[in-house]
Amino acid sequence: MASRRPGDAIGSFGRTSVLARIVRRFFGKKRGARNMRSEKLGGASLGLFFAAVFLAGCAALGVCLVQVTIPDWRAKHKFVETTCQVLEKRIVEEGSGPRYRPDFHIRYEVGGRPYQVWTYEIPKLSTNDRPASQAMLDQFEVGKQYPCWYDPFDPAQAVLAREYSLFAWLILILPGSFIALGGGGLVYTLFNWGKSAERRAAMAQRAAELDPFLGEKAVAERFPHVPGLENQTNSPGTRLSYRLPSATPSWRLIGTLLICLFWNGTVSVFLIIAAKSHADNDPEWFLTIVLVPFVLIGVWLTALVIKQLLAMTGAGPTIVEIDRHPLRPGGRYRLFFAQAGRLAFESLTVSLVCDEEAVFRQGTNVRTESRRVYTSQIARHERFVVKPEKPFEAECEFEVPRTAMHSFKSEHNTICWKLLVTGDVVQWPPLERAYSVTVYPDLHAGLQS
Amino acid sequence: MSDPHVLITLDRHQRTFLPGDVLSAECRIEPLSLLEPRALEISVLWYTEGKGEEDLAVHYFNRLASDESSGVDLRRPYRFSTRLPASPLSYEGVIVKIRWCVRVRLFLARGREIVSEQPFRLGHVPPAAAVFGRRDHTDQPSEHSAST
Repeated sequence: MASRRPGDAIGSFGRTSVLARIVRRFFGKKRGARNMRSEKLGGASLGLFFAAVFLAGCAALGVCLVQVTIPDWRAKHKFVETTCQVLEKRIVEEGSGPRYRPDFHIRYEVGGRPYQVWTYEIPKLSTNDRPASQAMLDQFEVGKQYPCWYDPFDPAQAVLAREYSLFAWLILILPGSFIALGGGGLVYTLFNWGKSAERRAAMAQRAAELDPFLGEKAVAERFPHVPGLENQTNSPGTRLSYRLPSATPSWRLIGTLLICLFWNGTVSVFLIIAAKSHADNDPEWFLTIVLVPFVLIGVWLTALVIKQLLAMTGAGPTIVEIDRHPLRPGGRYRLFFAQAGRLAFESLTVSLVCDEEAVFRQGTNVRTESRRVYTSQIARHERFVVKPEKPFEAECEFEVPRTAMHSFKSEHNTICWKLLVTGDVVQWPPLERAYSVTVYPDLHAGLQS
Repeated sequence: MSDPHVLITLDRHQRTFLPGDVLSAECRIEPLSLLEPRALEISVLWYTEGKGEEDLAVHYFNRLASDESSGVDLRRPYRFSTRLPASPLSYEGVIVKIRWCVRVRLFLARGREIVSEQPFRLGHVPPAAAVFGRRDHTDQPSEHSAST
């Protein structure tokens, strides 16, 4: 049987024209077979980038060692003690900050030869705390004798203080991080150089198998790329075996809240300016008029946040329990659900749904898109009232389709099954809460379990 | 004369396998006279297609290098077999598709590569269709709906 070459097998352009092929090649999705990137060129570019970062880190480390850390260490451990006389003292101002450091003009003798230098310590560190520098300056009096330490290889180098300097060692973190990042990236690039995508994937899988902290290993070995059950079976139910955790994401509320805060915060600055102008009888009418639509958007955003907050928290807790987990294609399961709170429902529906989720890059953004590929209404109840002392409770059965695709999770693609509780509440935002369930592959479809 | 390529021949005529089935195949380089194969990589793998970034995982991988010490002759047909896993099953979704294949990558002199693929299906999951245009929920049930 003749095999197809991947260029033909994947992303084939069939009998399309040359122009259409070029257009799709350059403007179509740049993944899979239409990926125009040269792996070798990409790897070489990445390698050069990491090499540059590594070399920059090495150069910076060299400078830090030679200029700061080694002189500091030598001053503490190798300098020779002698006695000096303080001739003058001053506070040196540096930079536009400004920053201050004490400085002393001292005289000392080494082997009968006199030396005069301006010094205090190595490295010469300045601070924006002038009183602290003044306090150091006040420790020494002009004309008096004090111990000092000079460099035996260069007696013109001397210090009056040799306290332990944390800065001289902490500064090494900066070039060290560059070296770690660049070196690690360089090793990674060289390690993967010339290796095929399959070989890299095989090596990554072998490395993952060695990970002792890999959760749900047994599930991963038996059903690769099927999500585990750890979060779905660790909470026992009161009516049925398992109480399911809510999978309703709160990121939408958080995102809206952050946008609302940013928008209203920015608008409020201009609003205060406009209000002040009116209060001072010098009204800024142009600013006031321009601000109106911005204020309206701010009000709408605030209302949206309140609506989402009420939808998430106002309806009281929803409890969903099932009798068995994981689910299997063709399997029949019992479901118990309860809704607490003080609400009047137009309708409350429980559905079994399956969503596909894909994560992809669009420019510099990472986006997630979702498509519902299955929905089945399990239960529907209409026109009832929930009171705090008497939550609504119902029990029913549902079936997973015999030909259902199992739950699936890889790095960028997901197939997830959920029990979805949706409700229309009188004078209240609609209720929607999701509870993830895991569907395993059909064992009767040939698998020897 | 035809371009050099790698022939992948599955032992089973049917291209659909069930979880736990043994997949066995033979790969052969043609034409031999033009090539100086350096290494051969045989993979049984799945990859995703669709809206998302491509994910790929290798179920079976073997690399054969043509050097004097190994005594491997890549010009001879190479047979391999592997028991297929329980998941993931082949899937033809709306924005997520899972495809299985046997992929053979032949490395030649001067960094040239020849890649051949033989797709197959794992399992019998039927194609999916979008229930709603977007994720946004409506209460409209699908054809599978069954109220209690």
